[in-house]
Amino acid sequence: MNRSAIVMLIFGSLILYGGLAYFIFQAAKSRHLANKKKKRIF
Amino acid sequence: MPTIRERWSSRSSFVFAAIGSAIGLGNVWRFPYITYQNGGGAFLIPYFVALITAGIPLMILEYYVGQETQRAPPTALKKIWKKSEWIGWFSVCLVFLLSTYYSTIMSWCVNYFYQSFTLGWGSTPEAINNFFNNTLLGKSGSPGILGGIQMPVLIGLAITWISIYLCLFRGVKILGKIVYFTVCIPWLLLIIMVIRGLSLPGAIEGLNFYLTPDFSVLLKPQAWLAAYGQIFYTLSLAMGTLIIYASYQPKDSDITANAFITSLANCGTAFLAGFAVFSTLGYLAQSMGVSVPEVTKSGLGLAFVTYPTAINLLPVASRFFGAFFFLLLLTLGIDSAFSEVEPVVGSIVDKWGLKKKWVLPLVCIFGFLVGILYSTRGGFYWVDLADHFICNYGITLVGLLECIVIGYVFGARKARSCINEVSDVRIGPWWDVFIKFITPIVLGVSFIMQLIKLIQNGYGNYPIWTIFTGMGFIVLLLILSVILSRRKGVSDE
Repeated sequence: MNRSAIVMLIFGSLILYGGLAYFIFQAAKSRHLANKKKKRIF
Repeated sequence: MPTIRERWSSRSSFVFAAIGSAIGLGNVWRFPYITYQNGGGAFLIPYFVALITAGIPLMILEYYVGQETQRAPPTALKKIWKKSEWIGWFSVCLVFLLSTYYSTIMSWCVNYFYQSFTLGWGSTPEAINNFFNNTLLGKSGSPGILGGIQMPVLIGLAITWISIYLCLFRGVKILGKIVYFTVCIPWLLLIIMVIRGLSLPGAIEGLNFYLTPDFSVLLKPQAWLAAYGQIFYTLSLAMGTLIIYASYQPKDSDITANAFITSLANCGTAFLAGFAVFSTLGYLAQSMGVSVPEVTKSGLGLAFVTYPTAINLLPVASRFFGAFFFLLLLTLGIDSAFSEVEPVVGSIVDKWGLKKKWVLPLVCIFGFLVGILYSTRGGFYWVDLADHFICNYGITLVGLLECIVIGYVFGARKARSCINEVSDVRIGPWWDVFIKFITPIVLGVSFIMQLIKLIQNGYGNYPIWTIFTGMGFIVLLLILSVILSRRKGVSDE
């Protein structure tokens, strides 16, 4: 593969899969915090 | 007595259902081609800009409308602004028609899946072309000549509608479990297809065509319009699906992160599909001794002619990978197909308080009956015409009207503060700007440009009366939507 195609491959992957991983992590973190809160209440 | 609203069994069920609805056949046969056609890797820049400025804001808006009102599109929009119920009905009418031809395309996939076990589509490119156009579709040559019904297409159509019914009839709790399979199986198949594609000779040449950037396209408005168009249709926006799915979420569920996950997962799948498609096209070009652009096609031609040609040329396990590819299309398509039926059923149930167990089979039977038109020898042309008029004019108009209702009548700022109250990731005033200005302007420009193009050049080589029929039908649906919104429902009593 030529160099410019590889750059675009990295650019696309970083935004799409990096962004996806970040928001999944955020969702998992908020779920973890919500579970912790519940435990404290009961 | 108010009925208890159905609920997704978990947040991930909802997210998977929304991803399944967004990921469809277009991810495989449209995105890679549009990328290649509009500057290769450089197209990713307008594509991401469109995603951030229109796709995600509109998805957040639809999730908010559904979740806040806990209603299907017409009654949801009515709760937002009393006079906007017809917009919801318009989107429901459009998505119902969309489901009728989408299920026909699924029926073609069913037939190809069956043929893949024997490679029954023929061995040469000419034979495959003949199989698709004459044996399967029996093309009559004009939309005016319907000819007889093509039995294999009709059988495939019946199988598709039965599958849609079986996925939906137990309600969203079971649907939430089905979507894990209909989303994860295509991902798995896609990864296998990518690995297989990359291992073929000539694959790298194909990928170079897919990703090598031509930055000069960034100065061309067509590339930007193509990016916005692709984002708009790929995310199932303005079809009512996202509103009805979000209405099954509890009112205090997160909105923003869900919207980001859904859209990024959808676009990530399309990006990955490009590797499967272009590596195989690279191999096909090398095998046939031609250049990659010569074998590169979009849409139906890619899926039903080019890809089977490449499958035939595979050195080992061609039947196996043929079945894999069409199973991939079937699993990609089925969750989009039932997500197009759910808003129709949900809207009728919400408006008139009817039982879902009666409404669903009636909608499926009616959808199948309409689909008979597309199973005729002239059906192919009607699929093409319906797709053009519904997507380019109908759905674009709904998206534009939704932005106006929320952005100006209800108030973008008010909506944003409600969204931020329940979401972990907070959105800033940029969202108001996108909903009030950027998205409506882009949709408005796209609508007007398509209309001007239609008036100047017509559509394809179709006769003028088909253009009048298509536009007349859109107007008829608008009138029907207004009539439906004026009918009394249970919520009015």
